[in-house]
Amino acid sequence: MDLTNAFDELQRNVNADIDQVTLARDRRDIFKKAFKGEDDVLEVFGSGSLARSTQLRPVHDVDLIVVFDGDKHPGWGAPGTSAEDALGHAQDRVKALLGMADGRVDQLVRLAKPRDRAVKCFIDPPEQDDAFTVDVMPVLRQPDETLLLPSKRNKQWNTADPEYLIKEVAAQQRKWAFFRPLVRVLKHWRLGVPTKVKSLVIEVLALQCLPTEGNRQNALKSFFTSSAVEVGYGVEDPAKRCGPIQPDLDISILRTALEEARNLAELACAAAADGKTDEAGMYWRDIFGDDFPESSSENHVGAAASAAVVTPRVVKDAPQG
Amino acid sequence: MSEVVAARHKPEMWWECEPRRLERDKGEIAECCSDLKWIPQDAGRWEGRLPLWPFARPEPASLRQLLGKDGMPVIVRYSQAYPMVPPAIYPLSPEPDLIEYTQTRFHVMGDGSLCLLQDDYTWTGRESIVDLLMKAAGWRVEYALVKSGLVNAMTINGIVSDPSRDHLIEQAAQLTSNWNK
Repeated sequence: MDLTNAFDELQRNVNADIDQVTLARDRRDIFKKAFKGEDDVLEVFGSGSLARSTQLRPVHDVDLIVVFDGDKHPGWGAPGTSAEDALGHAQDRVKALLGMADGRVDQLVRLAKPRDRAVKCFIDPPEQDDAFTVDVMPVLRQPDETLLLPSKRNKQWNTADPEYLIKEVAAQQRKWAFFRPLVRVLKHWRLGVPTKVKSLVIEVLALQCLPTEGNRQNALKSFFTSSAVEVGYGVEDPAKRCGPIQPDLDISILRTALEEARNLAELACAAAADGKTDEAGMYWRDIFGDDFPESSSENHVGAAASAAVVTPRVVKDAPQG
Repeated sequence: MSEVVAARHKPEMWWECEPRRLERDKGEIAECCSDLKWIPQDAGRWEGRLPLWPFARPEPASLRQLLGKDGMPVIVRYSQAYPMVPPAIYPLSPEPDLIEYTQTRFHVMGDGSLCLLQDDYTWTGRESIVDLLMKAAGWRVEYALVKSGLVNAMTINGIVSDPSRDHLIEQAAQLTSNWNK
Protein backbone atom coordinates (compact mmCIF):
# COMPACT_ATOMS: atom_id res chain seq x y z
CA MET A 1 0.00 0.00 0.00
CA ASP A 2 1.23 3.49 -0.83
CA LEU A 3 0.31 5.49 2.28
CA THR A 4 0.59 8.82 0.49
CA ASN A 5 -2.05 7.75 -2.02
CA ALA A 6 -4.15 6.28 0.79
CA PHE A 7 -4.15 9.58 2.66
CA ASP A 8 -4.99 11.41 -0.56
CA GLU A 9 -7.99 9.10 -0.96
CA LEU A 10 -9.04 9.64 2.66
CA GLN A 11 -8.89 13.37 2.00
CA ARG A 12 -11.02 13.06 -1.13
CA ASN A 13 -13.59 11.04 0.83
CA VAL A 14 -13.76 13.62 3.61
CA ASN A 15 -13.67 16.81 1.54
CA ALA A 16 -16.91 18.46 0.59
CA ASP A 17 -17.88 18.09 -3.04
CA ILE A 18 -16.36 21.03 -4.90
CA ASP A 19 -19.65 21.75 -6.70
CA GLN A 20 -21.41 21.96 -3.32
CA VAL A 21 -18.77 24.33 -2.00
CA THR A 22 -18.97 26.51 -5.11
CA LEU A 23 -22.77 26.64 -4.88
CA ALA A 24 -22.60 27.53 -1.17
CA ARG A 25 -20.12 30.32 -1.85
CA ASP A 26 -22.22 31.64 -4.74
CA ARG A 27 -25.28 31.81 -2.51
CA ARG A 28 -23.29 33.47 0.25
CA ASP A 29 -22.01 36.03 -2.26
CA ILE A 30 -25.57 36.88 -3.32
CA PHE A 31 -26.34 37.67 0.33
CA LYS A 32 -23.16 39.71 0.63
CA LYS A 33 -24.00 41.73 -2.47
CA ALA A 34 -27.55 42.32 -1.26
CA PHE A 35 -26.56 43.58 2.20
CA LYS A 36 -23.61 45.65 0.99
CA GLY A 37 -26.10 47.86 -0.79
CA GLU A 38 -27.85 48.76 2.47
CA ASP A 39 -27.09 52.21 3.84
CA ASP A 40 -27.02 51.04 7.47
CA VAL A 41 -24.53 48.23 6.78
CA LEU A 42 -20.79 48.80 7.19
CA GLU A 43 -19.36 45.33 6.41
CA VAL A 44 -20.50 41.90 5.30
CA PHE A 45 -18.29 38.81 5.53
CA GLY A 46 -18.49 35.07 5.80
CA SER A 47 -17.63 33.25 9.01
CA GLY A 48 -17.80 29.64 10.12
CA SER A 49 -16.08 26.70 8.53
CA LEU A 50 -16.69 27.78 4.92
CA ALA A 51 -14.83 31.04 5.57
CA ARG A 52 -12.00 29.05 7.16
CA SER A 53 -12.06 26.39 4.40
CA THR A 54 -12.46 23.66 7.00
CA GLN A 55 -15.96 22.65 5.93
CA LEU A 56 -17.05 19.03 5.79
CA ARG A 57 -19.41 17.36 3.41
CA PRO A 58 -22.28 17.89 3.00
CA VAL A 59 -22.25 21.68 2.97
CA HIS A 60 -25.75 22.64 4.03
CA ASP A 61 -25.29 25.90 5.83
CA VAL A 62 -23.32 29.10 5.45
CA ASP A 63 -22.62 31.68 8.15
CA LEU A 64 -22.72 35.35 7.27
CA ILE A 65 -21.91 38.29 9.53
CA VAL A 66 -23.50 41.66 8.77
CA VAL A 67 -21.95 44.59 10.62
CA PHE A 68 -24.58 47.29 11.04
CA ASP A 69 -23.88 50.94 11.72
CA GLY A 70 -24.50 51.49 15.43
CA ASP A 71 -25.15 55.19 14.86
CA LYS A 72 -28.18 54.28 12.75
CA HIS A 73 -29.45 51.81 15.36
CA PRO A 74 -28.80 53.68 18.61
CA GLY A 75 -30.65 51.21 20.85
CA TRP A 76 -28.70 48.15 19.68
CA GLY A 77 -26.06 46.69 21.93
CA ALA A 78 -27.95 47.44 25.14
CA PRO A 79 -29.43 44.67 27.30
CA GLY A 80 -33.13 43.99 26.80
CA THR A 81 -35.12 43.61 23.61
CA SER A 82 -32.56 45.25 21.31
CA ALA A 83 -31.05 41.85 20.41
CA GLU A 84 -34.47 40.70 19.23
CA ASP A 85 -34.97 44.01 17.42
CA ALA A 86 -31.71 43.51 15.52
CA LEU A 87 -32.67 39.99 14.47
CA GLY A 88 -36.12 41.26 13.42
CA HIS A 89 -34.53 43.99 11.35
CA ALA A 90 -32.20 41.49 9.66
CA GLN A 91 -35.18 39.22 8.96
CA ASP A 92 -37.13 42.07 7.35
CA ARG A 93 -34.16 43.03 5.17
CA VAL A 94 -33.61 39.43 4.03
CA LYS A 95 -37.26 39.25 2.94
CA ALA A 96 -37.11 42.60 1.16
CA LEU A 97 -33.80 41.93 -0.56
CA LEU A 98 -33.89 38.19 -1.22
CA GLY A 99 -37.43 36.91 -0.54
CA MET A 100 -38.70 34.34 -3.02
CA ALA A 101 -41.86 36.30 -3.70
CA ASP A 102 -40.50 39.78 -4.40
CA GLY A 103 -36.85 40.11 -3.40
CA ARG A 104 -35.30 43.26 -4.82
CA VAL A 105 -31.83 41.77 -5.43
CA ASP A 106 -32.67 38.08 -5.92
CA GLN A 107 -35.51 35.67 -5.24
CA LEU A 108 -33.72 33.06 -3.18
CA VAL A 109 -35.14 32.74 0.34
CA ARG A 110 -38.25 30.68 1.07
CA LEU A 111 -38.34 31.36 4.80
CA ALA A 112 -36.36 33.55 7.21
CA LYS A 113 -36.69 32.70 10.91
CA PRO A 114 -34.89 34.53 13.72
CA ARG A 115 -33.11 32.12 16.07
CA ASP A 116 -31.12 32.99 19.16
CA ARG A 117 -28.20 34.74 17.45
CA ALA A 118 -28.90 34.71 13.73
CA VAL A 119 -31.68 34.65 11.17
CA LYS A 120 -31.89 31.23 9.53
CA CYS A 121 -32.70 31.71 5.87
CA PHE A 122 -34.02 28.61 4.09
CA ILE A 123 -33.10 28.37 0.45
CA ASP A 124 -34.36 24.77 0.17
CA PRO A 125 -37.83 23.80 1.45
CA PRO A 126 -37.62 23.92 5.29
CA GLU A 127 -39.10 20.44 5.64
CA GLN A 128 -36.31 18.93 3.51
CA ASP A 129 -33.59 16.99 5.33
CA ASP A 130 -30.36 18.98 5.43
CA ALA A 131 -32.10 21.94 3.81
CA PHE A 132 -29.54 24.52 2.67
CA THR A 133 -29.60 27.59 4.89
CA VAL A 134 -27.72 30.84 5.25
CA ASP A 135 -27.42 32.11 8.83
CA VAL A 136 -27.35 35.91 8.86
CA MET A 137 -26.04 37.39 12.09
CA PRO A 138 -26.51 41.13 12.67
CA VAL A 139 -23.63 42.52 14.75
CA LEU A 140 -22.00 45.76 15.84
CA ARG A 141 -18.29 46.54 15.55
CA GLN A 142 -16.68 47.80 18.77
CA PRO A 143 -13.78 50.26 18.99
CA ASP A 144 -11.33 47.43 19.82
CA GLU A 145 -12.34 45.67 16.57
CA THR A 146 -14.25 42.89 18.37
CA LEU A 147 -17.91 42.30 17.56
CA LEU A 148 -21.07 42.52 19.64
CA LEU A 149 -23.34 39.53 18.94
CA PRO A 150 -27.04 39.54 19.83
CA SER A 151 -28.64 36.84 21.99
CA LYS A 152 -32.43 36.94 21.81
CA ARG A 153 -32.76 34.22 24.44
CA ASN A 154 -30.63 35.98 27.04
CA LYS A 155 -31.76 39.49 26.05
CA GLN A 156 -28.18 40.69 25.81
CA TRP A 157 -25.23 41.20 23.48
CA ASN A 158 -21.91 39.39 23.87
CA THR A 159 -18.41 40.27 22.77
CA ALA A 160 -16.80 37.82 20.33
CA ASP A 161 -14.00 37.76 17.80
CA PRO A 162 -14.80 35.20 15.08
CA GLU A 163 -12.27 36.84 12.77
CA TYR A 164 -9.47 35.74 15.12
CA LEU A 165 -10.01 32.06 14.32
CA ILE A 166 -10.28 32.79 10.60
CA LYS A 167 -6.90 34.56 10.70
CA GLU A 168 -5.25 31.89 12.85
CA VAL A 169 -6.35 29.04 10.61
CA ALA A 170 -5.17 30.97 7.55
CA ALA A 171 -1.80 31.56 9.23
CA GLN A 172 -1.37 27.84 9.98
CA GLN A 173 -2.32 27.03 6.39
CA ARG A 174 0.38 29.36 5.11
CA LYS A 175 2.92 27.43 7.19
CA TRP A 176 1.80 23.98 6.06
CA ALA A 177 -0.33 23.06 3.06
CA PHE A 178 -1.90 20.09 4.83
CA PHE A 179 -3.28 22.06 7.79
CA ARG A 180 -6.82 22.79 6.56
CA PRO A 181 -7.20 19.40 4.85
CA LEU A 182 -6.22 17.58 8.06
CA VAL A 183 -8.57 19.72 10.14
CA ARG A 184 -11.34 18.44 7.86
CA VAL A 185 -10.11 14.88 8.38
CA LEU A 186 -10.12 15.35 12.15
CA LYS A 187 -13.56 16.96 12.14
CA HIS A 188 -14.78 13.95 10.24
CA TRP A 189 -13.04 11.62 12.73
CA ARG A 190 -14.96 13.20 15.62
CA LEU A 191 -18.23 11.88 14.17
CA GLY A 192 -17.15 8.43 15.35
CA VAL A 193 -16.58 9.57 18.95
CA PRO A 194 -19.40 8.17 21.13
CA THR A 195 -20.47 11.58 22.43
CA LYS A 196 -21.44 14.85 20.78
CA VAL A 197 -18.33 16.83 19.91
CA LYS A 198 -18.83 20.17 18.17
CA SER A 199 -16.68 20.55 15.10
CA LEU A 200 -15.32 23.81 16.50
CA VAL A 201 -13.89 21.89 19.48
CA ILE A 202 -11.76 19.84 17.10
CA GLU A 203 -10.79 22.90 15.09
CA VAL A 204 -9.56 24.71 18.21
CA LEU A 205 -7.67 21.60 19.37
CA ALA A 206 -6.07 21.40 15.92
CA LEU A 207 -4.96 25.01 16.23
CA GLN A 208 -3.18 24.09 19.47
CA CYS A 209 -2.01 20.54 18.76
CA LEU A 210 -1.66 19.91 15.03
CA PRO A 211 1.94 20.46 13.88
CA THR A 212 2.57 22.54 10.79
CA GLU A 213 5.41 20.53 9.31
CA GLY A 214 6.37 17.02 8.37
CA ASN A 215 4.14 14.38 6.88
CA ARG A 216 0.49 13.72 7.56
CA GLN A 217 0.98 10.48 9.46
CA ASN A 218 3.35 12.00 12.01
CA ALA A 219 1.27 15.16 12.27
CA LEU A 220 -1.84 13.14 13.08
CA LYS A 221 0.06 11.06 15.61
CA SER A 222 1.29 14.25 17.28
CA PHE A 223 -2.20 15.72 17.23
CA PHE A 224 -3.78 12.73 18.94
CA THR A 225 -0.94 12.56 21.48
CA SER A 226 -1.04 16.26 22.40
CA SER A 227 -4.78 16.78 22.27
CA ALA A 228 -5.45 13.78 24.52
CA VAL A 229 -3.69 15.86 27.19
CA GLU A 230 -4.84 19.30 26.06
CA VAL A 231 -8.53 18.38 26.13
CA GLY A 232 -8.22 17.81 29.87
CA TYR A 233 -7.62 21.53 30.34
CA GLY A 234 -10.87 22.36 28.57
CA VAL A 235 -11.38 23.75 25.07
CA GLU A 236 -12.02 27.45 25.07
CA ASP A 237 -12.51 30.23 22.54
CA PRO A 238 -8.97 30.87 21.25
CA ALA A 239 -9.78 34.58 21.06
CA LYS A 240 -10.36 34.42 24.87
CA ARG A 241 -13.78 36.04 24.54
CA CYS A 242 -16.45 33.40 24.90
CA GLY A 243 -15.11 30.81 27.34
CA PRO A 244 -15.67 27.09 26.74
CA ILE A 245 -16.61 26.16 23.17
CA GLN A 246 -18.91 23.36 24.32
CA PRO A 247 -19.80 23.55 28.03
CA ASP A 248 -21.61 20.19 27.96
CA LEU A 249 -18.71 18.35 26.31
CA ASP A 250 -18.04 14.95 27.92
CA ILE A 251 -14.29 15.42 28.16
CA SER A 252 -13.53 11.92 29.48
CA ILE A 253 -15.18 10.21 26.50
CA LEU A 254 -13.38 12.48 24.02
CA ARG A 255 -10.06 11.99 25.83
CA THR A 256 -10.46 8.21 25.72
CA ALA A 257 -11.19 8.37 21.99
CA LEU A 258 -8.13 10.58 21.43
CA GLU A 259 -5.95 8.19 23.46
CA GLU A 260 -7.17 5.20 21.47
CA ALA A 261 -6.46 7.05 18.24
CA ARG A 262 -3.03 8.02 19.57
CA ASN A 263 -2.15 4.39 20.32
CA LEU A 264 -3.28 3.26 16.89
CA ALA A 265 -1.43 6.13 15.20
CA GLU A 266 1.75 5.15 17.00
CA LEU A 267 1.39 1.56 15.86
CA ALA A 268 0.72 2.81 12.34
CA CYS A 269 3.82 5.02 12.30
CA ALA A 270 5.96 2.24 13.78
CA ALA A 271 4.68 -0.22 11.16
CA ALA A 272 5.41 2.30 8.39
CA ALA A 273 8.90 2.79 9.80
CA ASP A 274 9.46 -0.95 9.46
CA GLY A 275 8.23 -0.83 5.88
CA LYS A 276 4.98 -2.66 6.77
CA THR A 277 2.76 -0.19 4.97
CA ASP A 278 -0.21 -2.55 4.65
CA GLU A 279 -0.19 -3.05 8.40
CA ALA A 280 0.12 0.72 8.88
CA GLY A 281 -2.87 1.19 6.59
CA MET A 282 -4.92 -1.21 8.70
CA TYR A 283 -4.22 0.85 11.82
CA TRP A 284 -5.16 4.08 10.05
CA ARG A 285 -8.33 2.37 8.88
CA ASP A 286 -9.09 1.47 12.50
CA ILE A 287 -8.93 5.19 13.24
CA PHE A 288 -10.73 6.63 10.23
CA GLY A 289 -13.00 3.77 9.27
CA ASP A 290 -14.13 3.03 5.75
CA ASP A 291 -13.03 6.42 4.42
CA PHE A 292 -9.44 5.18 4.64
CA PRO A 293 -8.82 2.79 1.74
CA GLU A 294 -8.34 -0.90 2.43
CA SER A 295 -4.89 -2.40 2.22
CA SER A 296 -4.16 -4.76 -0.59
CA SER A 297 -3.73 -8.36 0.54
CA GLU A 298 -0.08 -8.38 -0.43
CA ASN A 299 2.55 -6.04 0.84
CA HIS A 300 4.13 -4.30 -2.14
CA VAL A 301 6.70 -2.15 -0.47
CA GLY A 302 8.65 -0.65 -3.30
CA ALA A 303 11.24 2.04 -3.23
CA ALA A 304 8.71 4.66 -4.17
CA ALA A 305 6.35 3.69 -1.39
CA SER A 306 9.11 3.62 1.15
CA ALA A 307 10.40 6.97 0.06
CA ALA A 308 6.94 8.47 0.42
CA VAL A 309 6.92 7.75 4.14
CA VAL A 310 9.18 9.88 6.31
CA THR A 311 9.65 7.34 9.05
CA PRO A 312 9.50 8.41 12.68
CA ARG A 313 12.74 8.14 14.61
CA VAL A 314 12.78 5.45 17.27
CA VAL A 315 14.15 6.18 20.72
CA LYS A 316 17.38 4.27 20.29
CA ASP A 317 18.34 6.57 17.40
CA ALA A 318 16.72 9.76 18.68
CA PRO A 319 18.76 12.94 19.10
CA GLN A 320 20.53 13.34 22.43
CA GLY A 321 21.00 16.53 24.42
CA MET B 1 -3.21 3.02 65.72
CA SER B 2 0.01 4.54 64.44
CA GLU B 3 0.48 1.49 62.21
CA VAL B 4 -2.89 2.18 60.65
CA VAL B 5 -1.89 5.80 60.04
CA ALA B 6 1.45 4.70 58.63
CA ALA B 7 -0.24 2.21 56.33
CA ARG B 8 -2.67 4.85 55.18
CA HIS B 9 0.18 7.22 54.35
CA LYS B 10 2.46 4.61 52.77
CA PRO B 11 3.56 6.04 49.44
CA GLU B 12 2.32 4.17 46.42
CA MET B 13 5.07 2.89 44.14
CA TRP B 14 4.83 3.34 40.40
CA TRP B 15 4.99 -0.42 39.86
CA GLU B 16 1.95 -0.89 42.10
CA CYS B 17 0.06 1.31 39.62
CA GLU B 18 1.81 -0.15 36.57
CA PRO B 19 2.61 -3.77 37.47
CA ARG B 20 2.60 -4.89 33.84
CA ARG B 21 5.16 -2.26 32.98
CA LEU B 22 7.58 -3.53 35.61
CA GLU B 23 7.10 -7.10 34.35
CA ARG B 24 7.75 -5.91 30.82
CA ASP B 25 10.95 -4.09 31.88
CA LYS B 26 12.18 -7.11 33.82
CA GLY B 27 11.56 -9.39 30.87
CA GLU B 28 13.23 -7.12 28.33
CA ILE B 29 16.23 -6.39 30.53
CA ALA B 30 16.72 -10.08 31.38
CA GLU B 31 16.86 -10.78 27.67
CA CYS B 32 19.59 -8.33 26.70
CA CYS B 33 21.17 -6.85 29.85
CA SER B 34 21.21 -9.85 32.16
CA ASP B 35 23.94 -8.36 34.38
CA LEU B 36 21.57 -5.70 35.67
CA LYS B 37 19.87 -6.41 38.98
CA TRP B 38 16.53 -4.98 40.10
CA ILE B 39 16.64 -3.12 43.43
CA PRO B 40 13.10 -2.29 44.63
CA GLN B 41 14.14 0.58 46.93
CA ASP B 42 12.64 4.10 46.75
CA ALA B 43 11.28 4.36 43.23
CA GLY B 44 13.39 1.38 42.17
CA ARG B 45 16.62 1.07 40.20
CA TRP B 46 18.76 -1.32 38.21
CA GLU B 47 22.41 -1.81 39.06
CA GLY B 48 25.07 -3.69 37.15
CA ARG B 49 26.90 -3.70 33.86
CA LEU B 50 25.57 -2.95 30.42
CA PRO B 51 26.60 -5.21 27.54
CA LEU B 52 29.81 -4.10 25.91
CA TRP B 53 28.52 -4.15 22.32
CA PRO B 54 24.74 -4.86 22.14
CA PHE B 55 24.37 -3.56 18.59
CA ALA B 56 23.18 -5.41 15.50
CA ARG B 57 26.54 -5.33 13.75
CA PRO B 58 29.85 -7.08 14.34
CA GLU B 59 31.92 -5.94 17.30
CA PRO B 60 35.00 -4.03 16.04
CA ALA B 61 38.19 -6.00 16.54
CA SER B 62 39.87 -3.46 18.82
CA LEU B 63 36.88 -2.67 21.00
CA ARG B 64 38.07 -4.65 24.01
CA GLN B 65 41.53 -3.16 23.67
CA LEU B 66 39.90 0.27 24.00
CA LEU B 67 37.27 -0.43 26.65
CA GLY B 68 38.34 -3.59 28.42
CA LYS B 69 36.37 -6.82 28.42
CA ASP B 70 33.45 -5.68 30.61
CA GLY B 71 30.55 -3.42 29.86
CA MET B 72 29.99 -0.13 31.63
CA PRO B 73 28.68 -0.29 35.23
CA VAL B 74 25.59 1.90 35.65
CA ILE B 75 22.72 2.78 37.93
CA VAL B 76 19.40 3.07 36.14
CA ARG B 77 17.24 5.11 38.47
CA TYR B 78 13.47 5.29 38.10
CA SER B 79 11.30 8.12 39.45
CA GLN B 80 7.76 7.64 40.66
CA ALA B 81 6.66 9.36 37.45
CA TYR B 82 7.82 6.36 35.42
CA PRO B 83 6.81 5.30 32.79
CA MET B 84 5.72 8.81 31.73
CA VAL B 85 9.17 10.15 32.62
CA PRO B 86 12.15 8.10 31.43
CA PRO B 87 14.60 6.71 33.99
CA ALA B 88 17.97 8.41 34.59
CA ILE B 89 21.08 6.41 33.72
CA TYR B 90 24.23 7.21 35.70
CA PRO B 91 27.59 5.91 34.40
CA LEU B 92 29.81 4.71 37.27
CA SER B 93 32.97 3.93 35.30
CA PRO B 94 33.96 6.01 33.51
CA GLU B 95 32.43 8.83 35.49
CA PRO B 96 32.25 12.02 33.46
CA ASP B 97 34.38 14.86 34.81
CA LEU B 98 32.47 17.69 36.45
CA ILE B 99 33.53 20.04 33.67
CA GLU B 100 31.82 17.75 31.16
CA TYR B 101 28.42 18.10 32.85
CA THR B 102 25.80 19.93 30.73
CA GLN B 103 28.09 19.87 27.70
CA THR B 104 26.21 18.75 24.62
CA ARG B 105 29.32 17.23 23.11
CA PHE B 106 29.45 14.76 26.02
CA HIS B 107 25.65 14.25 26.40
CA VAL B 108 25.86 14.51 30.19
CA MET B 109 23.19 16.19 32.31
CA GLY B 110 23.83 18.54 35.20
CA ASP B 111 23.36 15.72 37.72
CA GLY B 112 25.85 13.41 36.02
CA SER B 113 23.24 11.23 34.33
CA LEU B 114 23.33 10.68 30.58
CA CYS B 115 21.37 12.98 28.29
CA LEU B 116 19.90 10.35 25.99
CA LEU B 117 16.89 12.26 24.63
CA GLN B 118 17.02 15.79 23.30
CA ASP B 119 13.25 16.32 23.32
CA ASP B 120 10.66 15.43 25.94
CA TYR B 121 8.19 14.32 23.31
CA THR B 122 10.46 11.53 22.04
CA TRP B 123 9.62 9.48 25.13
CA THR B 124 5.87 8.91 25.40
CA GLY B 125 5.99 6.28 28.13
CA ARG B 126 5.40 3.35 25.82
CA GLU B 127 8.92 2.90 24.50
CA SER B 128 11.25 0.20 25.76
CA ILE B 129 13.74 0.94 28.49
CA VAL B 130 16.15 -1.23 26.52
CA ASP B 131 16.34 1.45 23.83
CA LEU B 132 17.79 3.79 26.46
CA LEU B 133 20.20 1.13 27.72
CA MET B 134 21.42 0.59 24.16
CA LYS B 135 22.04 4.32 23.78
CA ALA B 136 23.92 4.29 27.09
CA ALA B 137 26.10 1.42 25.84
CA GLY B 138 26.81 3.50 22.74
CA TRP B 139 27.64 6.48 24.93
CA ARG B 140 30.41 4.45 26.56
CA VAL B 141 32.06 3.86 23.19
CA GLU B 142 31.71 7.43 22.03
CA TYR B 143 32.99 8.76 25.35
CA ALA B 144 36.20 6.82 24.78
CA LEU B 145 36.48 8.21 21.24
CA VAL B 146 36.07 11.81 22.44
CA LYS B 147 38.51 11.29 25.31
CA SER B 148 41.05 9.86 22.87
CA GLY B 149 40.95 13.16 21.00
CA LEU B 150 40.03 11.56 17.70
CA VAL B 151 36.69 13.35 17.66
CA ASN B 152 35.64 16.55 19.34
CA ALA B 153 32.07 15.62 20.13
CA MET B 154 29.71 12.69 20.30
CA THR B 155 27.21 12.19 17.50
CA ILE B 156 23.79 13.74 17.98
CA ASN B 157 21.84 10.49 17.67
CA GLY B 158 24.28 8.02 19.19
CA ILE B 159 25.79 4.98 17.50
CA VAL B 160 23.19 2.25 18.17
CA SER B 161 22.39 1.99 14.46
CA ASP B 162 25.13 4.22 13.11
CA PRO B 163 28.38 2.49 12.11
CA SER B 164 30.04 5.67 10.86
CA ARG B 165 32.48 5.80 13.79
CA ASP B 166 33.25 2.10 14.12
CA HIS B 167 36.45 2.50 12.12
CA LEU B 168 37.76 5.02 14.68
CA ILE B 169 37.74 2.44 17.47
CA GLU B 170 40.93 0.82 16.25
CA GLN B 171 42.72 4.18 16.00
CA ALA B 172 41.53 5.18 19.45
CA ALA B 173 42.72 1.86 20.85
CA GLN B 174 46.16 2.46 19.28
CA LEU B 175 46.38 5.97 20.71
CA THR B 176 45.35 4.82 24.16
CA SER B 177 47.84 1.95 24.21
CA ASN B 178 50.64 4.31 23.06
CA TRP B 179 49.83 6.67 25.96
CA ASN B 180 49.95 3.78 28.38
CA LYS B 181 53.38 2.61 27.27
